[in-house]
Amino acid sequence: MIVRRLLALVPIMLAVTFLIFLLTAFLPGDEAVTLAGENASAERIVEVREALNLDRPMIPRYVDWVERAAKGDLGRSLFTNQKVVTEIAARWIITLQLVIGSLIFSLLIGIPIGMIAARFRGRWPDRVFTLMSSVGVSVPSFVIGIYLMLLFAVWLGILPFAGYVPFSEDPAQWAKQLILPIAAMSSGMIAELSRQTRSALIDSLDSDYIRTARAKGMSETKIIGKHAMRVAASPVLSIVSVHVARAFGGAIVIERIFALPGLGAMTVDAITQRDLPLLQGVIPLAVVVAMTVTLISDIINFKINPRLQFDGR
Amino acid sequence: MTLEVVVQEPIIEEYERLGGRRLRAFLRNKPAVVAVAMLTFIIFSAVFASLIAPFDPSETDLMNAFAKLGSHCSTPDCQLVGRHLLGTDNLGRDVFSRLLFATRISLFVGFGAVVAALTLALPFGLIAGYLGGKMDWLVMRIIDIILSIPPLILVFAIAGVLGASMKNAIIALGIFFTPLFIRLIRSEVVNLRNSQLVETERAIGVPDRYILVRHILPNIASPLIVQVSLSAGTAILAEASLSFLGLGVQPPSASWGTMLQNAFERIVQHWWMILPSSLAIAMTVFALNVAGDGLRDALGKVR
Repeated sequence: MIVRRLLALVPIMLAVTFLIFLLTAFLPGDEAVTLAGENASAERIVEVREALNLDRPMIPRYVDWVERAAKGDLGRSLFTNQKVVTEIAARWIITLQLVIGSLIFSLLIGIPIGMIAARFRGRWPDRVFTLMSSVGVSVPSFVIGIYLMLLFAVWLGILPFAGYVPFSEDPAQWAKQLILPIAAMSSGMIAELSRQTRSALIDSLDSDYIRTARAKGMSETKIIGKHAMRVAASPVLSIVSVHVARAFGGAIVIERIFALPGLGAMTVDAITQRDLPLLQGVIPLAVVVAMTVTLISDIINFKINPRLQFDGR
Repeated sequence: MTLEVVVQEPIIEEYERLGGRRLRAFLRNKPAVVAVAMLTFIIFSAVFASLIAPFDPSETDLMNAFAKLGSHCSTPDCQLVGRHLLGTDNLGRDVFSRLLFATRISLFVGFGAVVAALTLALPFGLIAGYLGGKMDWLVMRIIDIILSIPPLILVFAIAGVLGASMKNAIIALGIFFTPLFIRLIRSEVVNLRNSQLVETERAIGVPDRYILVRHILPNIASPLIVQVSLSAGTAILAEASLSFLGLGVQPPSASWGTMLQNAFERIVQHWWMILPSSLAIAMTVFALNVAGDGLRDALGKVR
C-alpha cells in the first residue's frame, strides 16, 4: 500500500509541473520579451527564446522538459546562468534547517501548552493560553519575526539582525542567527498545536478508560501525561504534516526578513525576475517534500492507530 | 402528493425558528459580538476613508518626514487640517491617512479574492456534488493537484508570473481559494443530496433546478458564511505578505503590506513606524477569526 501511494505521486507530479508550465501561457505579451525584462537587447530576447525553446508548441516543450528532468537536468537559470540543480543544492540546507527547527521548536512548546490548558481547563491558565493561541493564529509569522527582531536585535542587542553563517564555520553564530527566524516561523504552529492538543485531550478525558484511571486514584496530571496523550497523537501528526507544506510558503517571507539565502529567498527572486526554469525546479521540489511528509505522517498514524484504513482520507 | 405536504411543512417551520435561535446563540457569544463590532468599525473607516482622512495619503512633505505622533504639520495651510495623529513616514506623508486608505485596499483585495473564488466555486461545487459521476471525479482530481502545491508558493507564483499589481493579487488569491471552496460546497451538497427530503423530491419528479435553488443553496449557506469569514482573514494575511515582498499592491498605493515593508526598512531608527500597519493586520484577522468561530458555533449547534 505504501508503494501504491508512492506511485500515486507520479501523476500528481506530472500535473503540477504541467500546471507551472501552463503559467507561461498567461505571461502578458510575447513570452520571450516579457521574460527577458523591460530593457533587454534583441540578442537577449533571442537568447531567452532559445534557452526555453519558446518557438516550439507547449506540449512537445513540456515532454522535453520532463525527459530531461527525469535525468536530473532542470535547465539553467535565466539570470545567473547556473544550473538550476546547482542553485537548489546550494540553498536547500538553509530552508531545511528552518523547517525542521521550527517543527521541533513548536512541538516542544505547543504540546506542553496544550497539556497545561487541558489540565486546567476552564480556569485561568487555559483562558490565557486560548487567548494567546488565537492571537498567534491571527498575527502572520513575518510580523512576529519583525517584532522579535525589534526586541532582540534592535533594543536588547543580544542577537544579530540577519544573515547566515554555516554551522561548520561558527556554531555559536549559526545558532544565534537561526533562533529568531525559527521562533517566528513557529508562532502559527505553536498556536494551532496547543489548540488541537487541548481539544483532543479534553475529548478523550471524557472516555471510560480515563474514568477508570481516575477511579483508581491516578492524578489528573498523570492521566494527561500517560493515557490521554496517546489519543492526542494523531490530530497532532496531521497538523505536523500540514505545517511542513505551509512552512515552505512561510519560509519565503521569513528568509527575506532575516536575509537568509535559502530556497524561499531564491523563490522570491525567481518570481520577481520571472526566472521560469528556476521556478519550474523549485516548486515541484516543494510539492514532493510536502507530499512525502504527508505520506510519512499517514504511515506513522496508521502504526499508532491500526483501526484506521490506510487509504482512507 | 400528501407525502410532499407531510415532509415539507415542518421543515419550513423549523427554519423560521432556527433563524431566531441562531441569532440568539451568536449574540450570547460576547467575544464574537465584540469582533463583529470591531469589523464594522474597520469596514466603516475603509469605506469612508476619503471623508475621515485629514490629509492626502500620497502628499509628501519632506521637511516634515518622520514626525512624531500628534505633531503639527509644517506646510502653511495645514492649520486647517490639524495634526499628524500617527506621525509621518519617510516622505512626510501622514501615516493616519495612509492607514485609512491602506485599510480600504487591503480589505478590497481580501474580500474581493474570496468573493471571486466563491462565485467561481459555486457552479462547480454544485454540479460536482449534485450530479456526481465522471464530472465529480474530474473536478476533484484537479482540485487534489492544485491543493498539493504548498499554499503561499502557488499564490506567489501566479502573482509573480502575471506581474505585481493589485488586480493580479486578487486573481492569484482567488485561484488559491477556489478549490478549497469547491471542495467544501461539494461535500455539503453530497450530504444533502442523500437526505430524505431531496431523495423524496427527486422521486416525485421535482425539477433539479428547483431542488438546487430552493433546498440545497439555503442549506449550504451557513457553512459557506463561516468559511468566507475565516478565508477573508487568510486572504488579508496573504495580501500583506505579497505586498510586503513587492509582489502585490505597488507603491505609492498604500496597503498594509507595503506600509509594513516601508517601515521595516527603517526599523532601527524609526521603529514605531511598524506599529500602525502591523496592528491593523493583527486586529482585523483576529476579529475575522473570532467572528468566524462564533458563527460556526452559533450555526453549528442546531445542525
